[in-house]
Formats: sequence, C-alpha cells, structure tokens
Amino acid sequence: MSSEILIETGSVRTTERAIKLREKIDFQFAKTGLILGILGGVLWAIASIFLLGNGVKSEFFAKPEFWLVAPLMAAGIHDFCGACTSLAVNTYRGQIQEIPRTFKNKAGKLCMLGGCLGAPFGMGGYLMAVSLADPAYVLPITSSYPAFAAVLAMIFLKEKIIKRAWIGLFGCIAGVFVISFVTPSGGVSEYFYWGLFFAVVAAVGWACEGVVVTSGMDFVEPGIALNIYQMTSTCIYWFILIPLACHFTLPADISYLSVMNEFFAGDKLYLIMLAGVVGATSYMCWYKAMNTTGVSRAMALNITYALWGVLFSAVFLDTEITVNLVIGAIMIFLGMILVIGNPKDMINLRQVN
Amino acid sequence: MKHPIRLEICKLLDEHTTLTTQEIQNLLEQAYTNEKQVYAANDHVLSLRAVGIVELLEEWVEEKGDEEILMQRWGLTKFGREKYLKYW
Repeated sequence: MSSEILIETGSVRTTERAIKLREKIDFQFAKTGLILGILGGVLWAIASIFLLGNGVKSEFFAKPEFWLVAPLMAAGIHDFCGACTSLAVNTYRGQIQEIPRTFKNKAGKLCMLGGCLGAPFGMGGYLMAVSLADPAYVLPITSSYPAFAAVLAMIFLKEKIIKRAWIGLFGCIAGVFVISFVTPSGGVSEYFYWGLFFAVVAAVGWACEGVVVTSGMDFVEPGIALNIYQMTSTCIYWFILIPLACHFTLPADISYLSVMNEFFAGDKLYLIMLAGVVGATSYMCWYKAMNTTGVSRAMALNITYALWGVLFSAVFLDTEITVNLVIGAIMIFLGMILVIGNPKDMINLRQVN
Repeated sequence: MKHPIRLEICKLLDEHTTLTTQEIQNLLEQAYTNEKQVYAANDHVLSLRAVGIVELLEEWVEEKGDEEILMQRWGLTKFGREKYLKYW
C-alpha cells in the first residue's frame, strides 16, 4: 500500500484516494444502472402494449370456449421464449454450467418454487388481464406488486413495514380504485372488470414469487435465477396448467391436440413470442440495474412501466386515456416510491446501497 | 459437486478469512476452469456485499501504468456465514 493517510471508517481501513476512486466507480455504476432501470421499464411497457396487447387480439383469443386456455398458452409460450433468451445470454456469459448446479442447490429450489407460484398467478393472471382489459389499465395495477410483496413479507417473513411504506401501500390501493372507478367512455368489453381483477391476481402472484425467490437469490446470479424461474414456469404451463385447463373447460368435441394446432397456427403468435424475448430483456435490465444502482432505485425505475404504458397507449394507439387512469397511475407510482424506499436516498446517486 | 459460484466465494472467504477481489478470482479460476463467469468475480462480490453476506475490510489504490486500480479486501459477515452454511 502507498504511503497515503490511512482512515478507519467504521470497520474499513481505507485512504482518501481509495474513497474518491470508489465513489467515482459507484457513481458511474449508478448512472449505468439508471439507464438500465429506465430501459427495463420501457421495454416491459413496449412488450405489453404493442406486442402482447396485439397478440391477444387474434381469433384464437376471441373464441369464448378458449377463455382460460388462450391466456395460459400465451403465458406458456411467452415464458418459453423468455427462457430461450435467458439461456442464450447465460451461454454467452459463460454461465451455462451454473444452471444445473443451481437446480441441485437449495437456492435453486427456491427459484423453482417461485416459478410454481409465479406461473399460474403471475404471468397467467397477467395474460388473462391483458386479454380482458386494455393493457393501459392493467399495467398500473400490476405495478403495485412490490406493495403486496411488502405485506406478504410482513406476514410470512416477519418483516416490519414502516409508516412511510404503509402510506405508500394505501396510496397504491387508492390508485387501483381510482383507475377502475371510471371506464373509458368509448365502451369496454363486458369482462373489463374481470380484467382488472386478474391484474390484481397477477400482482399478488408476482409478489408471492418475489418473496420466495428473494431469499435464495442472495447466492444465485440473477440471470441464472431468471432462467430457472422461466424454465420451471414453462414446464408448469405446458405439462400441468394447460392440460388441466383443456380438460376442465373445453367442450367434449374439442381435443387438446386440435387446440394446440390452432394456437400454433395463429397469425399473431409471433407477437407473443417476441414479447417473451423483449420481456426477458426487460428483466435482465432490471436485475443489472439492481446490482449497479441499488434495489430501491432500480425497482422505482422499473415500475415506471405503468406510466410508459399509459403514454405509449395515448400516443401510438387509440386507447382512450381517462383522467382517472392518469391520476390512478400516478398515485400508484408515487405510492410505490414510498413503499420501496426513501425518496431522498433514491435521488442521491452517490448512495448506491 | 461444484456449488453455485457465489456460494463458492463464501466458502473461500470462510476458509481464508479475508481475500482481495483478485485473490478470489485466482482461486475461482482454479476451481471453475474454462468458465468465463470467474472474470466477473468483482460483480459477484459486490452483489454479495449488497445483501450483507460479505463486508469490505480494507481498500487502497494501486497504479498500473497510467491507470488507477481500486484494490479491495473482503471478509464474510457473521450473518453471511450463518446464511451460506444453510445453503452449502
């Protein structure tokens, strides 16, 4: 070590030069993380509004007898494409051998459990919501999943929720009511409120998944955790949920095979597959943002997808954006900021943790 | 059986008490031969630090030509040790 002045800050022996260099590195990381966090939110909004939003408008989704099978198949192919994307990235990063090791480890098993919870309720609920209600209305509600995660963590992990977070939680709930209070004047489908209900189911599903997976993720590289989660959810969809849905909801004269053929022959299937790729990319941006700019800041940037969704719908699509939708989305976003962390800390880029 | 790399890093810190990032990378290269992810040792350690598994004990600056390199020495926290043993 050079003959610089040694400083003891807490339990760390350091020098002024080292502190300055570390702050410079942390600041650059934080800026990179900001860009990635925003990019993750934008990509999720793009995937939801333009890709999934159009993908679920196919003839397959319009058939009443496929009310359950259609969203589940869409979720299944979405996660399958996401898993392939993550696998390609992990292979490129030289992490492919980490996957079987993690599967055998307790941490990997928690990721798998997260996939089991997230698959039916999270992504399944989300696709159901998008198919029944406009994505611009669904996105803000699903972005409240960290609030549900905080409540679940309080119940199951005995974590405490501070006063600021309670205020944020109630703000989110109020935002959900504001959004659903007034429907677009142009008219909505008769299942619009079911769509909003499934958006809440999706938020709760993702919250359950998050609480379960987070504990094991301390020792698992996020790209690997994501891959394991997506592989598990793909298997859950195609080997359990979809066959069960076909068995219990399809008329007797429609076979599982014929439904599969019809789904894979759909002209808009490619949009859902592309949504899986873009969605996985969004997840990876979010995880990288968490590592470089801190969890609170990254989550706050990620949930801007609700606001991007409203903006893209207003600008590029003919979705009617009601005043209630805008106010509700902002209320949920601000509520989430309070739940996730101290707003003052988030603004200060020099505090990465 | 090899463990996930972040658990291996915890094991190395448990065995050696303290290690620099470069020392961690060198040891990982021996255990995980031909795996590119060992070169991301710094990212792994920083992530473990973010969740309280490892802690920074010492840091200083070394010069290599015109470049300044931040050298950091790490140790396992008490919480980190208890947690990694549950997953090992």
